[in-house]
Amino acid sequence: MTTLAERMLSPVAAIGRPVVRGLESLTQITRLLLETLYFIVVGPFTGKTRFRQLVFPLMQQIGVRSLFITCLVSILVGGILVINTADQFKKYGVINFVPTMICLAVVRELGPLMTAIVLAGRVGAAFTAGLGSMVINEEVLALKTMGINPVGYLVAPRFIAICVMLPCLTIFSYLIGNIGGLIAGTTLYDIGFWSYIDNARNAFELVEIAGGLVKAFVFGAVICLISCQNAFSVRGGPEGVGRNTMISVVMCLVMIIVADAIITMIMAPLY
Amino acid sequence: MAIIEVEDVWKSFTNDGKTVDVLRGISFEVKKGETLCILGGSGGGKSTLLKVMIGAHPATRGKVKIDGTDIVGLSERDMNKVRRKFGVLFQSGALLNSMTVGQNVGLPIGFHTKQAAETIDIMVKVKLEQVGLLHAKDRLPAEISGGMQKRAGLARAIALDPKIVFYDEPSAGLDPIATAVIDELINDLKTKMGMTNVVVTHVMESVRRIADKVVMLDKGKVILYGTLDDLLNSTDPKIVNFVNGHIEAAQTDDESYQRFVNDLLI
Repeated sequence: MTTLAERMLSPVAAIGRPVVRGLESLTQITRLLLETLYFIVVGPFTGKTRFRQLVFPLMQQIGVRSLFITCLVSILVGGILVINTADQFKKYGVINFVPTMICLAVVRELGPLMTAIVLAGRVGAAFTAGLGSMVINEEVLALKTMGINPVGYLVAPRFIAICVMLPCLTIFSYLIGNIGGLIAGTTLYDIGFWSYIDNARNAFELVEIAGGLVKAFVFGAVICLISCQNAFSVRGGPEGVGRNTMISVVMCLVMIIVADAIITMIMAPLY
Repeated sequence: MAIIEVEDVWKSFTNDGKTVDVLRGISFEVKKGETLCILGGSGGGKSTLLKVMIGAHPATRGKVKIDGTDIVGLSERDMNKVRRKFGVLFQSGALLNSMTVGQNVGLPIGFHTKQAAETIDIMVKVKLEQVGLLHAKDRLPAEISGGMQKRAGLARAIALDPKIVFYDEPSAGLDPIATAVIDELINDLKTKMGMTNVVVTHVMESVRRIADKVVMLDKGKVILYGTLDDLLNSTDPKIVNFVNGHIEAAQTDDESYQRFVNDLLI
């Protein structure tokens, strides 16, 4: 039976509970980040961490096997951007700015963002489901009892692999996204091939490329930490794995956009 | 000489502001080279006690000494040193599914020793031969039976020749023959290698085959600590029912009956 005081406090509790849970998640993810960085820095000197054996298969899983879908998304996004904007640019007689705009949009924003979204769905979900299953099968506990730290053995290699492969995939996304724009621009609108290349090249500056790669690196870290933290907090059997996988993908997508906004604000004066 | 000492161990869990005592003042000891079985019905606290003893859950109160070191409140680094002294066979075997059986057994050896790959391979073969699984060295855990997974888990648990092996329900999900094989292995480890075994189980046949001492838990308390004969000759109705496999009649105390009545009225 609820008391009057409890009923009066329930709206406050309804707001407070998610805030407290959010702060708890943030604390856990920060702790996981610090532990992961510790194992990445200290691990190779202990002689116990064999990153090479663990990281390369993960790189293949994350990078090579995501290449096709990343390229497909990038080429379509490049083409769609041209189709959606070229008519407006044509109206004002500045159709030649389309390649520059596409290139800037792909390099600054869409390349890293679309690649991160693809990886959040493909790799982030796989991390949570895979590690979550290990948690409920007591494999993670087994590692602990063998004196093997699960963060050093499971999270650190994934962190390295995704933080290396996401920028690599982003470079492909730059190239393929622009090719998508080029195909749409030259076939559907009267933009000459060399004219498109020349205009696009004007936007290809080192600071733009580096900015996009920094974003890709941060997005990789965000996906890895959120998906692994959600895996380690799985409770209640296979149903819990499914629930946390869903939470993980949603959290990854939201936090990627939040991180994107923060980095964009920080980097805006450099452009 | 006692290799494991459990002194007045309490373990509480808090959920939605309510605290539940799962273990309430557990005390016993295990001598070197002895097999101790921890018995009890479901929800009695057996698995929690095992997890406290292997350092997976910290005890709320009390002492758990493994080979003289109290593990309660121990730092992770110091706990890892203690972990070298014991191996654990989990209920599901807990083999890493992405690795072959041989790689699973070699994992702790490779991680904790600086042996060459060839030496590790020989050690893995020796351990697998010990549990009769050499033929399954290159197979994945998903490709072998539940009993074989348990034996592979046991090979991994003894890979570094620990002094103590903990077993969480080793016969769960196994047929009687596979259970007998595991029991025989547990006895072999005691007699041939002098290992101390702590087995959480509720299978009386296994207890009869392997136990030197038994601890029986009920609602987080020890209701019997003694030899196998003490268990078999006990006149306590709860213990007699457990030993004979009788269904215990639902017992209602005054307090729970009052709660039931209040719930109905509200």
